[in-house]
Amino acid sequence: MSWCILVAAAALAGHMVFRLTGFPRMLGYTVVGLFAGWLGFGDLPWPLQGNTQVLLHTAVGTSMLIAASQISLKWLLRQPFLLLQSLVESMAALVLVTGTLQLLGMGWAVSLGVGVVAMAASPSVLLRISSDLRSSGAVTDRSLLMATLGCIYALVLGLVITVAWSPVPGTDAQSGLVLTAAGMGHLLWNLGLTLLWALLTTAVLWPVLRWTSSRSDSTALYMLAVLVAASLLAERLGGSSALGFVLAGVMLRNLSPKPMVWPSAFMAGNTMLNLLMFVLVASMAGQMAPSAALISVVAAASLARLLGKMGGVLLLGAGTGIGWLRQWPVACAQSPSSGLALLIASAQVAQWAAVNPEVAISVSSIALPMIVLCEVIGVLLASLALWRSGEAHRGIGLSALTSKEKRHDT
Amino acid sequence: MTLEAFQQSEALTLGVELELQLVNTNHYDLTPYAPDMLALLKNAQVPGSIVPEVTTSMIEISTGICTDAQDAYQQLSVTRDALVKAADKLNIALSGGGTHPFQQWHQQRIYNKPRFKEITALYGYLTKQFTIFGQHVHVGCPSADAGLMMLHRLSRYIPHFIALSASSPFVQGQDTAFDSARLNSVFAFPLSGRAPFALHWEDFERYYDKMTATGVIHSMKDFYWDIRPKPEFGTVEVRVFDTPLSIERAVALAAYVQALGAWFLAEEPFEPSEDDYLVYTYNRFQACRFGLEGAYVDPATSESFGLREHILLTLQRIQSYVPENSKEALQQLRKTVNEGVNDASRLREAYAQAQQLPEVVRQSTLRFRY
Repeated sequence: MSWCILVAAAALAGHMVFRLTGFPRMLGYTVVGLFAGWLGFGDLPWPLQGNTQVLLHTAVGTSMLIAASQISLKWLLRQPFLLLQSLVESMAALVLVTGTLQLLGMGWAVSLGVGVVAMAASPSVLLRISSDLRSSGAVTDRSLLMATLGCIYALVLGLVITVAWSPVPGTDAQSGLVLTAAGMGHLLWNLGLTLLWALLTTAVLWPVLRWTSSRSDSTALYMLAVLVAASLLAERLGGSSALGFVLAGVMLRNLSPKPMVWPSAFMAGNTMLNLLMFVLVASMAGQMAPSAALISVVAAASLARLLGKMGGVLLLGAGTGIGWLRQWPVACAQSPSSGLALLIASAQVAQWAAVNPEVAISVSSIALPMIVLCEVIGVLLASLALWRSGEAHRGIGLSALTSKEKRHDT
Repeated sequence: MTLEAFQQSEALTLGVELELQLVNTNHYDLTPYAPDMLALLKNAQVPGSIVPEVTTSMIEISTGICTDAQDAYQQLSVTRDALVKAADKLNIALSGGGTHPFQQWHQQRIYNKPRFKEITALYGYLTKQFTIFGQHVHVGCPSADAGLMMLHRLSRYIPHFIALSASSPFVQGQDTAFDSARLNSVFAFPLSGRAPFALHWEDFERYYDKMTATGVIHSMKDFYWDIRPKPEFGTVEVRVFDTPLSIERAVALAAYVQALGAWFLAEEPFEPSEDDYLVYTYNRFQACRFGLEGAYVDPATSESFGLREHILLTLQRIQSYVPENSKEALQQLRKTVNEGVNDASRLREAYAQAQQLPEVVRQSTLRFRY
């Protein structure tokens, strides 16, 4: 019952935010989630487990599948500068956040753990923003591409440091990370399983995405069932379902030139799953007890992340096909963080808690508020940037929404 | 604003304009990349020009002055290659076709240019519905009066042009049963249709002055006629063509106009009259609806023909006026008429095989590219 009330409140708050300010609905979802977390509403386990984990994996997975299915490898090979740009912005976020936390006296395990979480941008947020603000064009497409590539790097590195490395056993929060032979074996096993989930997802989605109608509700149900099944298998047996969905999206897009037709009901399903995801992310962060010291660390890490991501995009903006001035909104659109970052943080905490609980607690206390802070600031920044770039359909605010919204003479 | 003088141009020179679709390479819907394409192509070395069109998912290219089909093909090829290179850089594709098969008109955005904003302020949603794609062919005329004579003689062949270029069977995701549904969107504009029957430039100037005095029009651009004079170029501009799927087809259509013009100037085969327009709208409808399989009523004799039959007869008649460098293009045109194939039938065939309109658009982008 508590979840029913939470979802209803989030939906209403999202609608109000959108109607009154013009900003995307997810801001409303996040606010409700934060309140729910503070009030202890929903009683969610941390790190994520069971149904909550499967739900978040499925929610993130649908968005990642959709976003990754827009990556043309042929194009990236023709424009390798884009790959370099995304790599630089992700690595810059990792290095700056890790470095900042080191300067603030955190141990290597905590610094690097939070640094990897900071690498992840949010294709889910960008898909929602482009849907709510009806944004399309070169900036929107580039933003989604960069965010998706950033997530791939974060997922791979997240898997590596979670499975192959672990903090020095004990209760020292300043602990470093150690690589173990068993960890390397686990890493290979997890990578193999991830590839298996990707291949299975590709194989079962291939026919329906290529040969059915966009109006087919049964296709949408079939697809959602496949994604839930893959998430369940990954939870039970290992591997990363999120990375598997990304790889599946890339394979689906590139194994045949024939375009895919996404069922509209699947996109609607993705919208609902996203609502749950934004509420869940904020609820988790809301559980953290704030303190002045924590707030300053989180603010410093978030600022370092923002600088790294924006600096990386702007530094290598020239030569990617759109002008340098158009790189600004792309850079701003890399600032949101959301469900995927939460999944990476949750996996780290789940793995490390048994080895060194203090490290796990420190990672949680910094990463969770950082994710929400970046989600809120990122949504505002990305929305304003897309609006300023001329690609979002309407401006921000009530007047923009009400004046001639439905008229086609402007 | 008074009508400017009809400039001199070399008789029967050609100019070709093509409005093209910019499509996303994932879902193959229209995509608003015109500003980015134009920025990339700002310094491109192309023979004609590349300019924006009314909505941001469209772009218009044009040749310079061409002497014949081969010249037009060479010019369009250079521009096409530059466009494809820029599109590849942006990960989008270009396509011909008179309509995009499944775009939603209300999702289109007006290009940020004062004239387009003015048009939108006046016409409202019609402007976004004007996200349709045509080919315009200019043919040089030795004088203003010769231009008007050319215009009214060419009017009899408007159904030929429509049927041969028809490439807009799908609109908003539906098969319209028309070969050229694009022209139905043009008809919604109050100043569309046929030009007034004036055979002397002074008469045309009087008509123009009366219209400007009413405040209804401000320049020749406000007329959306099927054929209109273009005084600043010294040409007559045929505007009923759907943009074909390939530049080869576009060039063949331009060559057909040029050969008809050469025949008119050399033989003066008939005297146009107001009565020519009695069957104009009917013939036009037949060509739009049925394409090459439409009926054609000869305005002079009231005799009824199959459109294909009448086109083949006309091609036979003008054969001796086809320049050497245009012969191959017209040969190809004749071949497709014999086979009864236009781009609309190709699009329908692609849909019959793929059963998905995005795949139809993808195949169209390949046809434009190669």
